[in-house]
Amino acid sequence: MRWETAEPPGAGDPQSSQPGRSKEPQQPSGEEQLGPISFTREVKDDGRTLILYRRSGECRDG
Amino acid sequence: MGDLRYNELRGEQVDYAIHRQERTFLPEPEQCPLCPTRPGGPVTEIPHPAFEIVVFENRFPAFVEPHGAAEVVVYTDSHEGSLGTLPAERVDSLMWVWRQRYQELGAREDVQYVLIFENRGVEVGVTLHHPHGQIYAYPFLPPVPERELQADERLGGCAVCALLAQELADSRRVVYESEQVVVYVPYAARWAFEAHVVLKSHRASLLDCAPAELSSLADALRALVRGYDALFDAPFPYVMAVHQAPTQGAAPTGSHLHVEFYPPLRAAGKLKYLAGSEQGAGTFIADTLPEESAVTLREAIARGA
Repeated sequence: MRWETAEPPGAGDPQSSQPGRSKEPQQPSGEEQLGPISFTREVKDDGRTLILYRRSGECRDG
Repeated sequence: MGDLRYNELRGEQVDYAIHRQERTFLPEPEQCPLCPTRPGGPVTEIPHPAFEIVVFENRFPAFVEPHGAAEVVVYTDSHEGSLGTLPAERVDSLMWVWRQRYQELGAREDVQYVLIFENRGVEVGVTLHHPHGQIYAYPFLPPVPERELQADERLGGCAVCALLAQELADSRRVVYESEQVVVYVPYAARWAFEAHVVLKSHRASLLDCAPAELSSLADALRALVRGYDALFDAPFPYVMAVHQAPTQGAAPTGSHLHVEFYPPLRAAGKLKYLAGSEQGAGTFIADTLPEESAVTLREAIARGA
């Protein structure tokens, strides 16, 4: 038996985004910068997205 | 993939992600899917011989677009380590990664709440030992953040701000304090060594934090995890949850970024189980006083520094 899914108030209710938030999906692109880190996106063989983040000059002390 | 059913008696959603039953379970280190793909070695989730921090979509997601998302955040290409042992700069970078994922996932129409979390230790159900966390982007507002918003209404403002002021005034449960961040065992902690890491300034999310605040948050998280590991001289299991503002609708005035840790150990080798009262009635029965746990944890943080 499959129970009907009842939604709580507000669930699935499209609402306006918060000020300053973009609703445009971000497409895979070249290197992007955010604060002290940069990142690049890849699409894996099975279609999943992978994001590589790095920090230039990071001190590696293991 | 995934099936949401609303549990009327509990007043909460249950997510059926039955494909997760097949997920990788405690593989040998040489078969770790979160390690880099090294020459001659097995192909892992990360097709690179080295990396710093990587985020990818979970192969066994609890939520998937257009009904949310589930991602894995790998902290390091080393199979060993923790938030406590990573270099300070790496944990600082992680704060920016969290911020970027919160912003991008939160901007999606199908996402109402972004939860960044980490399960550490087999005691809390970890299936991969490689240092990593996860992100769930929910297509609804889950009960815990919803209750925090209700607490804001009940207290007539930001509940976290009010509780933080009380904890600072009392000071007995404060275990770590810097210029911008306070860590305390909360007055009504449910877990023996529960700790809340709280920004002193009201910030709804990581997006509102100045770079120095992100660095301070990273420092506090490192100090706390080092302290946890010093408690019983062993890796300390916990669930860590980053609480931020919901991402749909107008930003609530009360949401206050903070990180909660729920460690299941109540003493060395002794687990707190969620049993009759906790599961049947929703009331935690605590075996320790937060004031006494705070003394122990404060000393451990000093030892771990």
